[in-house]
Amino acid sequence: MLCAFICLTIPLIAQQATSIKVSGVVSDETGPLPGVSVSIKGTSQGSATNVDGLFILSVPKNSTLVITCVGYITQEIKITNQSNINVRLLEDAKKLDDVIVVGYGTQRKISTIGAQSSVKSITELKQPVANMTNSIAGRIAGVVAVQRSAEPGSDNSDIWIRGISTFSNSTPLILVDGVERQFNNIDPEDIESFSILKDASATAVYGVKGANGVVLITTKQGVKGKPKIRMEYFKGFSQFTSVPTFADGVTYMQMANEALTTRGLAPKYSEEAIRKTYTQEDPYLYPNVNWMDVVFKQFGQNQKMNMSVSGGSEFAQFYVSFGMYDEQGLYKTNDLEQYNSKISYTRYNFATNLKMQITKSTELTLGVKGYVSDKNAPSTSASDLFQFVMRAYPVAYPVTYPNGELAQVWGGGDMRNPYGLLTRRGYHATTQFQTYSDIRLSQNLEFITKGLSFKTLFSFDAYSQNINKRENGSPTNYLASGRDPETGELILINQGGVDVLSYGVSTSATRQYYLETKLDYERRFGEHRTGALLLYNQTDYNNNTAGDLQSSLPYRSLGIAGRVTYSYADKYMLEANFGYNGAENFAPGKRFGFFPSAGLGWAVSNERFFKVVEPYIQFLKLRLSHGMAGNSKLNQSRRFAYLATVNSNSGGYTYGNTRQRSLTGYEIDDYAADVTWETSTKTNLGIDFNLLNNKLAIQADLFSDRRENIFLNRNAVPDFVGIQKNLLGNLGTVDNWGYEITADWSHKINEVTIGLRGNFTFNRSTIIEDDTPFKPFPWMNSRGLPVNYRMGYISDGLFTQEQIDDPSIARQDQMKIQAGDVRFRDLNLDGVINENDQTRIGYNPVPEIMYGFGLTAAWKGFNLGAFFQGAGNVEFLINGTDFIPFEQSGARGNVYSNILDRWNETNPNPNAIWPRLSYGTGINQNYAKSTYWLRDGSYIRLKTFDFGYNIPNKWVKKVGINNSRIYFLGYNLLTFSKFDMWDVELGEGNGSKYPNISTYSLGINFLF
Amino acid sequence: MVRNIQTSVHIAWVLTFYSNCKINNIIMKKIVKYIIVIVAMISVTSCEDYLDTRPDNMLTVDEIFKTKRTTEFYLANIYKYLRCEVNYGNSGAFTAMSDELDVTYADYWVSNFNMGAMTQASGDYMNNWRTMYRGIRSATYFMNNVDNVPIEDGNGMTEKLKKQYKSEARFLRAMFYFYIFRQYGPVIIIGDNVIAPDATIEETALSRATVSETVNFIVNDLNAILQSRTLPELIPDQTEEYGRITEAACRALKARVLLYAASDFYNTDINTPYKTFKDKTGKMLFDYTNEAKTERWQRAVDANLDVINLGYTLYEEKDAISGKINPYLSFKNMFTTDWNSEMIFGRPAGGFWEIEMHSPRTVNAWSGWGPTQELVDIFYTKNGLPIDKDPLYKETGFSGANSAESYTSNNRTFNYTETGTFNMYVDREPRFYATISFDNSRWLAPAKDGTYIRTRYFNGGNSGAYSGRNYSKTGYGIRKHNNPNANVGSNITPEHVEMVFRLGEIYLNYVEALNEVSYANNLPEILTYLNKIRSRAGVNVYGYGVEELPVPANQDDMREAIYRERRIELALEGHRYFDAIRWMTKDASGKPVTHAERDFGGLLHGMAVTENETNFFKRTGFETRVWSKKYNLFPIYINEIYTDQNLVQNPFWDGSEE
Repeated sequence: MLCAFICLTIPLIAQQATSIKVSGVVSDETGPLPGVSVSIKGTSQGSATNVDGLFILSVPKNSTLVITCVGYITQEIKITNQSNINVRLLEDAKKLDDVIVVGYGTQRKISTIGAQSSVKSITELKQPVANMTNSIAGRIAGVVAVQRSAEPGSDNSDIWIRGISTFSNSTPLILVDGVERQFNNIDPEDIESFSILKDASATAVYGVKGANGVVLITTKQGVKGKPKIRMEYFKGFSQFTSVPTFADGVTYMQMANEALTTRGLAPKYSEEAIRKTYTQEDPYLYPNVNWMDVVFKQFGQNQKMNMSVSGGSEFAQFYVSFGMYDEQGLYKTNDLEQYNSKISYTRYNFATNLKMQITKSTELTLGVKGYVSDKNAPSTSASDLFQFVMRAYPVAYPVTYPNGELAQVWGGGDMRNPYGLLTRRGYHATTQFQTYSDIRLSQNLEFITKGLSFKTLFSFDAYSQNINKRENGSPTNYLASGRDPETGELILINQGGVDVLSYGVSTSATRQYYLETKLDYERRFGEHRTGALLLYNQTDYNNNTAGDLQSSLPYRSLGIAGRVTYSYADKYMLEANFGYNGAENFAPGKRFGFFPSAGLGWAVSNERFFKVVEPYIQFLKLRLSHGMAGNSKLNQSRRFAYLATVNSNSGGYTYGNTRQRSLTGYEIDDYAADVTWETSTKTNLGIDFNLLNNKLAIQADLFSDRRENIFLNRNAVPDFVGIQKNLLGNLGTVDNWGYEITADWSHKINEVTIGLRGNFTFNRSTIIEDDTPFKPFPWMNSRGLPVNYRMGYISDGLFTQEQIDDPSIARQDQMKIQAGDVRFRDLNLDGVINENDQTRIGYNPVPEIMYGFGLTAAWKGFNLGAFFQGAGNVEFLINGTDFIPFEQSGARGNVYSNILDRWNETNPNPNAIWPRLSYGTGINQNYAKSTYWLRDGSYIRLKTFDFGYNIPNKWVKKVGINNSRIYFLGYNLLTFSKFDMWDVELGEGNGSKYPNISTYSLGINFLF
Repeated sequence: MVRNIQTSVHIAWVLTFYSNCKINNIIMKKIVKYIIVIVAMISVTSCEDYLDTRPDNMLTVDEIFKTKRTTEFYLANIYKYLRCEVNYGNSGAFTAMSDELDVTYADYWVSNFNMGAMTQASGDYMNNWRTMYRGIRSATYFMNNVDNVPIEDGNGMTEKLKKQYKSEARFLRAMFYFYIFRQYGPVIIIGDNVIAPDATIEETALSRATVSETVNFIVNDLNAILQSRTLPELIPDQTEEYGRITEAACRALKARVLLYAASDFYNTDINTPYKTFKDKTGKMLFDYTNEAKTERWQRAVDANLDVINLGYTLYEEKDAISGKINPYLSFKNMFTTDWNSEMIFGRPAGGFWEIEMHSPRTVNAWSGWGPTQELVDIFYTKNGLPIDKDPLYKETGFSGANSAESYTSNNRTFNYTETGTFNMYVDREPRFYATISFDNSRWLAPAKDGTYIRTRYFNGGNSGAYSGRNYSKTGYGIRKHNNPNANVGSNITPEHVEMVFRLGEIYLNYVEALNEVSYANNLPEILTYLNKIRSRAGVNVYGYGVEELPVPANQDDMREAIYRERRIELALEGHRYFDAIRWMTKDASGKPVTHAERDFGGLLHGMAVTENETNFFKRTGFETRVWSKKYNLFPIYINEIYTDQNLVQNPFWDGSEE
């Protein structure tokens, strides 16, 4: 909010009257504000803005207007000559009666104790991406988010709240309008608030679902007044942020020869072959293909449109919105094919919220939201396509032969023609349909006692997905075996394949019912405020197209939750919460868990003695909470752990004289396990304070989270016990701690308003118990390491010839280690490198530090914003299939273009990216997991950059437009990172994923 | 608790209802009524009932042993663990880890194994330790529960059948222990009860048995089956039940186990480096010595004779016209003819698909298995002599005519070799032609278009090196096991029964043991059975006649002859790897080494596959393999050692000096 407010003052010709008529629009950054009091200072004269935020007032010259609104900082404007004043009000950071969203309700901000953070302004979520999960990285303290692919339609980020503190399911609970739902495909335009709940005080009410934190999203409701129409449109184009680049054919061949000769083997490519590849005199027999260029376009595009209408009378208010998002990916297409195999994603969103005041004390709300999406993609998945681009080396075969036939090497299962996969294998057309519907009734029970109300909510959500698959296994392909010695024609050998597309379909569908009833009590007795909540809810989720009986059974949970709050004079706050609920997947008697929490708050700045420091610190509040939450998700395909299972398809045997009697095999699969939920004990210490005359607001939280009874399959079971799956148990314990800081600063110098804000999140987990057997050396043990630690060797660089000749330097047994190979550290000093020398290496691929900071500036109608997002304490290994040069003895796999930066005998560079080349693996362990391949995954990104101009109303008023703005919005424009082989956020592996994209878009919005 | 809260919610609503009556608001009343109905609906459902969504028709463990049908399904699951020894890339990779075969693909774990990459921490490459102990658990569980199956009218279950099934499970368990024994050495004997899934780490701290305890445990189980007379000698219902365990299978396993047990590798007076292989209490795990050595060999003799006496015969096929035995067809078709007279026990579950998919590339297959030059060289010439003993054998030039010998298959007559064949392959014994596919030989099965193609293995040849990866790195392919009726290009890969025990092996076991007991006393018997093998193979027999080859003159010569015969006869059947470990010799410095140590490491050879036709025909090393003393026994996966404090690793894997 501090980021993008604009003050518009349009000077007009001065009037000579002593009293002038002043009119104007009062707005906040979301639009005009109705009901704002506009009064003349020192008098009782005044007016209030109408539904359009408009006021008209006769004012004496040289008087001062006072504009006040609850929740906003009061503004005073001196009237000299102006007759038109547009005022943009700033939200008051200290606003006492402001409410914020908490679990199952709202609370006054001043009295909130729980660790809760919100997106400061919903505008921040309006980014040129389809998937909202990609908008929140760095925007909220406490959220860890990483985006591992930008494939249209499958690009959601992984999100954790306060990191990962468990071996089992670590995804947060996501509630949209109070109901467990996904938020990936919600149109940000429809969102009213976006918050996360982090500590026990905030999440205990969610009981067995609360341990991983909660994401709370509410959608927009109608506002009283005549219909307001908002329109928004942008169009952008996108390109990959960074893609792996590969060596050209000649380099590939030279490197292959070096890899062979440097290990004492004969070169593979003759000088003549290299020369012909270089001259390209016969590109069909000596191809040199850049498969990246063959398959991917330079630019994609996306566009988005949204239109919403909101308004209503005293008795009914509505909000209706319609949105469209369209994205064209970066695959090339083949115009010759009859069918469409381009990659594209189109989504239509709709949202309706209708609120009716049935009686004075009864309110009925109906919400219907959802989307329909269409995705079209080649039948080869993006990851496969990238993988095959990496596998097809440049000199293996051309793209097509002169007759248009596809080239490929026989044995194509491993090195298939990427162009063929993209354009001739057919396509998948996916349709998704989601509805979120809910009906709510709220009854004021003041006639029983003041402050009591009753609310009930019933929701029914349905989802379906349909994939029409038109595809073939492998298109017809050819390989040239040479040229006819007489005619010179290519001799093409047909290697089979099918061009006819088969038809297949796969569908999935789910539905969910949710019911919630609650009693709310909130009352003020002088300086005392009390509140209470008692709630019952139940969920029934069903997979309608389950493949087996177990997963077809409804997933159910039910429980109650309660909260009691008390505060005195907005100085001392007390809060107690509990959740008591259960889920269907545990044994009777072990289903229900009770999760209490309590919190204390002290607004120190409201104490009398604080007056002394008020010039320096304007606001100070301390918060402390402690309590429990649970996690009942097993994160295994397994449900009903309390039942032993029989695998009725374990692989049987065949009998009979003609082998005709095949019996299926029965085998005990899982043994019954007496397990129950995982518990999380959370403590949170928070401090909120304002400095510099409330211009700088800081919120900081320090937390610890101890997870106990984490589900694990027992690890310390020898294989000779012979069970198929180790028994599940509540065996693990993990500690997690961290802190978060959010800071906001805003300042106005003359007509320039500047805002700065940032947040910083850190967390670190420690395994206390994971039921692994104890290892012979302390550095091998997992206890004390973070969850998802990585084991490997510590590299001491590359061997020099002196070191090779020195037998006292440890190396692997049996391996033919040469100078230029990676040297590992002998941790146990036994003179040999083996498993005992492996230890934890590097930070995890999920960052420990996430942060974001932004700057906004506004001057007259112009505004500028830049938001940076970054991650730290993150490292990843580059490795995986097709990463190692000539891994499969050259049978497949490209090499990266930085291959020239390698160790070789003429240039024994000790800091080379690539160690001494080798052809095939197994003769050394250069590519074993080691710090040699560890890369710093920290980065800073210019996540968004926007520049906009508010078109003066006088230009557009004639066509009925009240407000309009044009803007440029860039997304992922710059990345600063030490790593450059592919997009740093894709992380671990070989980079063969659909890369992240940058988007440049131009947009416009109108308000009618 | 939840119920209480529900009640209170309910009460609140009743209150609301009355208050609203007072204010007499009609709309309100209606709404409130509806809400009361909703709340009442919630209240009547008990919480536990609501959450009790457990599957109602889930098959439970107890139900398995309630019907004959499901009991048989459980038993079929135990049979599943019988290993396929002819899928060389995977379960049968022992062959590709020996000097018989190369698997072309560098990304197969077997290639890494051959490069020396296996460590005690790299995981158990084949997972046999874990897999076989799973089979053992299932077998024991079955034996302990099969008696629960009710015998009811019409369900077909009888006491006799229960006993039979129990013995089948016991046999399988013995087989699984043997699989572990041959690969990892002394086993952990679990006994007749399964270990509880929630057993503590103390309860699972078991120690290894010694070699003698392991052998005795397996043999005692087999003896118990034989004494109980619960297994049939022949399967009564061949239509439905062929493939089940018979008494003959028990005797054959016993014969093989006792042959292994008598072998030098387990005798620490010969295999002296393993004298120090002790468990944590100081117990010697290799506890066989020269003492009772002859008795052990005699037990092997007796056990194998037991099988021979059952009356199985070597498989033979005669030429339709001449009526004479055709050695090629007899040997070749033995492996593709279901349930023939030589098969003592077969595994009908298949696995040959893989072998046929690795026919030469020219018939649209993958050509990924390459027999080595070392295997090619072991075959006799047509005179029954080793190549270095036959003056007529040549490795230069090409044949000027088709071979005189031929056979008829798929209504077509094939010569062993055709004009223009490299002389190395000309005039070899028939088993060579039935086992190896070499350059310019005609493939035994048709290509997609029905023609029989000559396979060319040189660079640019129809099955040779090219820019892809599907070609043999040795310049040879496998014919053995391959079905002449296959047509890979048209996706026809007929299954057949895999030989697990065949009479040919028993004869070779028998003569090997006889020779060790006493060359002098057993010579006539040795010759009888060795010659049976050679006769069927169309190779000159040993004897004293004019046409016959001289009898090996002493025990050592006879041993060499028997070993060579075994390598040829049983090539690519999964024996070589283990035979080469149990057979010992001395290295140049006089230290005892296994044949595997002598033969499996170092440079292995094939033809010059990267060369064109002109330069192809020369012995060329294709791969330098790693093999040392520790490889004689696989390492036990290190986690197992971490978890079981009483378990000792196999010698030298923990980094100790070899």
